[in-house]
Amino acid sequence: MPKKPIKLPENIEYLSILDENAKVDKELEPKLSADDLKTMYRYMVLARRGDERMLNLQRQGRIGTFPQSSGHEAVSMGSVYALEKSDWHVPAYREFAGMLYRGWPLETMFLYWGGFEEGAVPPEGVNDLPICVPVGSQLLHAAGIGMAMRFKEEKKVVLTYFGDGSSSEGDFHEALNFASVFNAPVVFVCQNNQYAISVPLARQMKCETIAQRAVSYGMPGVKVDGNDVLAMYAATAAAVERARAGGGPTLIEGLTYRMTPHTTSDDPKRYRSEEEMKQWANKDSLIRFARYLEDKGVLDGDARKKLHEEIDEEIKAAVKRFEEQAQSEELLNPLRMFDYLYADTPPDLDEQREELKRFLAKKGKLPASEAGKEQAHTGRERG
Amino acid sequence: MAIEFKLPDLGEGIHEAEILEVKVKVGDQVKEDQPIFEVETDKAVVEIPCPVAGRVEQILVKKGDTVKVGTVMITFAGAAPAAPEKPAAAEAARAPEEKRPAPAAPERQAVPVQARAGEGPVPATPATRRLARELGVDLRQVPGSGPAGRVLADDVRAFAGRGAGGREEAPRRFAEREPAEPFTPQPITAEPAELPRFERWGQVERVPLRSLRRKIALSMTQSWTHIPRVSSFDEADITLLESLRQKHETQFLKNGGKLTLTVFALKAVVAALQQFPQFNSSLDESTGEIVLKHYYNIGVAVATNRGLIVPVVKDVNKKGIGALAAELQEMAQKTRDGKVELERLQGGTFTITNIGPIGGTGMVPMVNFPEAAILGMARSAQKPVVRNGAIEVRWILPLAISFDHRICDGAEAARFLRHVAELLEDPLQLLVEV
Amino acid sequence: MAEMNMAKAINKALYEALERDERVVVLGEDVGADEGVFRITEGLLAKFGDKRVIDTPLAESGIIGTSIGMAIYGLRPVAEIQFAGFDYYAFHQIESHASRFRNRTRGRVTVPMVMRFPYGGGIRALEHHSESRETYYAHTPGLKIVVPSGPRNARALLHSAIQDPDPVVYYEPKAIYRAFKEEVPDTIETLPIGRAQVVREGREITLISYGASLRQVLEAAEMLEEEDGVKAEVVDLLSIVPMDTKTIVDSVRKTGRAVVVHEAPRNCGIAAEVVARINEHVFLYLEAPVARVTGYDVPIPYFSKEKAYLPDADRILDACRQTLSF
Repeated sequence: MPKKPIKLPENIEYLSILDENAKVDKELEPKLSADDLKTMYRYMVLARRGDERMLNLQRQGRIGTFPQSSGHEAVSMGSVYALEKSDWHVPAYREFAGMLYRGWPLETMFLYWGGFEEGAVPPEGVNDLPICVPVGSQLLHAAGIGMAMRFKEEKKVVLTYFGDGSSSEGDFHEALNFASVFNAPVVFVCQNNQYAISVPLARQMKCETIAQRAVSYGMPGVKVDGNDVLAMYAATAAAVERARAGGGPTLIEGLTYRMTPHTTSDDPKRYRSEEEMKQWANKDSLIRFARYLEDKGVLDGDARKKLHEEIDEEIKAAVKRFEEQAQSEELLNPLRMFDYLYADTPPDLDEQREELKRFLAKKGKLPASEAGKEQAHTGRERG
Repeated sequence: MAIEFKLPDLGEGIHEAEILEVKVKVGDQVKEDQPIFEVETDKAVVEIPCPVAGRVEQILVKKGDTVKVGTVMITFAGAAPAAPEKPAAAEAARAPEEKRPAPAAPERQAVPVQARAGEGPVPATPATRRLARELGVDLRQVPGSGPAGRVLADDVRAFAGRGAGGREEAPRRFAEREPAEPFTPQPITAEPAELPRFERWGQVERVPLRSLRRKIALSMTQSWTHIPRVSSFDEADITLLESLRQKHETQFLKNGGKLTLTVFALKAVVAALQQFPQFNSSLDESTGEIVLKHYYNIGVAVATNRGLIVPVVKDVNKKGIGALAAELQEMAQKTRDGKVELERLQGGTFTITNIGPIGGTGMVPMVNFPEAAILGMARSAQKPVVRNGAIEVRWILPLAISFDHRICDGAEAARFLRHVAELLEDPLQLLVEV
Repeated sequence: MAEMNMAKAINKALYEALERDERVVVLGEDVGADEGVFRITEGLLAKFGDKRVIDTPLAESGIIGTSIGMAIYGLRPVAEIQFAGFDYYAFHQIESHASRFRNRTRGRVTVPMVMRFPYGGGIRALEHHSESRETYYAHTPGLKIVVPSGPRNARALLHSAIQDPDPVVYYEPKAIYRAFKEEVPDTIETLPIGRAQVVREGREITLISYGASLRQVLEAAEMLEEEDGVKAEVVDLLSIVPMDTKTIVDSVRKTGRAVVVHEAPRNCGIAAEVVARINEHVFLYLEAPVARVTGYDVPIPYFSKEKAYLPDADRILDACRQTLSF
């Protein structure tokens, strides 16, 4: 009975195709058309400019606290572009680019961070779950959706996201384990931006990569340059293809950097140096992707400038639509809080709705749309 | 129109910020999103971008100021608001504390609160409160006869002058009942007698002496162990009284009282007690004194389904037959219903127990500790008696007295009992004497 | 009609649901070959196969979290957690997601699923196997919670739960799984969720309870009638959320006195909610304060002392007498 090493099934590879100097590895370069590339770039810029615009909206008190997403565009966009429309997308909360691409209107995102549940409603025909705030918990929903896809014998895939901090959560483990045990078509993508608010990756784990955790779940894992949208696409496309063919889940780690505070309430100067931030700013996915597109003749400087202007106009129009909705009587109606909890509102909840309604009416604050409606009998008796 | 810009909550729950830098001057043309201030909050240093495009009209803060969230910091002229004009209703709903449409009614409509005469709320259950509202009774005016002065439903009804029968209600046998405590075995005397194990001879059941049963047991043990008791017997010929009673029964009923033998006995006993005061006394064992009472509160034993209870008719000497009949009737009923007030269970000086309605030719009653004596009445019946040398059918009432032989003697007891019997035999004498 | 105990009746409902609705899947730890630690899933794997009767890894959050995903994707998962004492692992998924998806997506994404949690003491179980924590779920808006009290209503409520468009916690009183049998009809029955039942009529006092405690309450009601001649009305809540306020207050309006019984701890328990509703609706009909007979505010003692913790007929009777004599 000799001691001998057990051969583990997977090797963890690191993938980079477009480096920070915009040099492309021709062998690994994915076959994407000019339109594909332009679309990807467009949504990455939309997300970046949108993020910047949202910061201003927050500082002006027009929306609430939100987690910024600048720096996460390539991980999100590169991976989501490997999906079909009929596949499912289960984001965390920095997949701004991916959600826009999947069909979430900009103003919906503003609405969400502006304090309206309506911003969490997936648009008709968009197979997405909404933003998920409790970190890592959404991974189990993705696993369950993947299990249901298998159950229905559909050739679909679900793509889901989490951060490096989330990889410490129990749900991360359970989700990867369930997906693997049931061979569910799930692609788990880690937005490894190296910080969970202030806590660095070294405090989340002692292993070298998040990707290597795949080994313990018996699934392939790959670490990718998360500022390289081409590599993210290539890695995800391979994982999606494998999952679609019945090969089960994959874990992809995209290494990137949060170029902003964690949220608008955070001050990263407390825990990271200016120098580090500057270093990573040089690795910005948008800069190298723009150069790649220019080098490739897909999008030159003028076209890019025009695109940026278009995008700014688009954002401006979206802010306007958002503010119209955010100030509409319909969405501001406080009584809406009761109307979507159950398929059929139970009588006791209805009674609470009536209670608030009576109070609003007494204070002269009842929205006009509610005023005409008949008040239900409360069942309360007075002697 | 000038546009005002107020300091927003820049973090989650930020209340103020310090101005580090003002990046514009009055008169500057500014663009939307151009930085206008740098401020520091408890959480971070942030730049505030301009919300509108226009000309700076006024700057209301300066470097070093600490500004509260919601304070106007700057105003702009000739600016188009970034946001469309807010509809009034939406505005109201969004910022209720700022702009409130004038309410139709006064802001705080005073709820009419009944002026309170006393110090606080009157103790009464909600159901009693409802009854009071229904009957238009002010609870503060109603004397409470329940525990701790609680106003009972009957008090309210009585106050409203409708009487107890005014409203149909489920019987409330438990109203006066002691809360049933978990049973812990405990002796009822200092030196409990030993018992054999009855289980040896067959199945037994042990029933806890709860509440009333336990009280009776304790009180009887006390009576038996403290009072050297002697009994004496006599008979009263109540033929005349009985015919009188039957004749006037209906009329008394109309006045709310039942004309029973006990009613007459109450009067007869008080007359006898006035003549033989030692029977209206108690022996104070601790001082060696006889305590003679100058009041005549007669307890009347009432059998209830939970055990014997002895409510007390106060000041019998001051009350007429009619009043006594009514009071006795009401008291007995309340006792049987478990509704009798605590104060009516105390302060007796002498007790009458009448087992006549149930039966029995005679009895040896137990003295109701700490009283000195008790009168027992058995069933009155028509009996053949020799009268003036001839046999006649007469109404005969068997009487018994038990008394504390430390205070009284047998001869006095026999005289006392005879006096009671004579008064019952001669109703006229009863009238004269009391 | 067949006579069966509650364990069998729940099993029957699962069988019927799997048979009539192909979207239904049963999943949990040991629900397959082992047929459940309480044998509630007996015969299901053999009949429906491991695609629909799924043994999962030992991870409660995983079970509930993936069930949420399946429900979103159009299945009707019926998840079993072996003992309610372990559902806290999954609490985050229940509170943050199962209960909220409909609301936060304004009805676009819904989670029709059933969570079966065997709860309660009285079976001399291991530590951490006897808790009653329905309050946690009642305090979580967006969930429904039902608690059956016998074979027939157990089967009907489970069908209702499975058919419900929203997540339902099906809190199983495991102490009475095999306590008694009842006639259960052959045709499938449902019971409206949110409706209580008056299971015994009376005029003098109302006893309100649910689940395993209902047996003790009925026993106390019998004793009360026999020993004191008092007829107690007994209300079986069946649904904790939504709570059937009307049935409760209609009864108390009639009797003026009430005792609420459950084995969960008292502080912020369901009884407190019942008392509040009675106060709000029929305050002026009360003859006495509403009493609570509940578990105490301690962890349910290990089984050497659990009897003293669980409300039994004597404790309930005692409370009734105090209420009646107030």
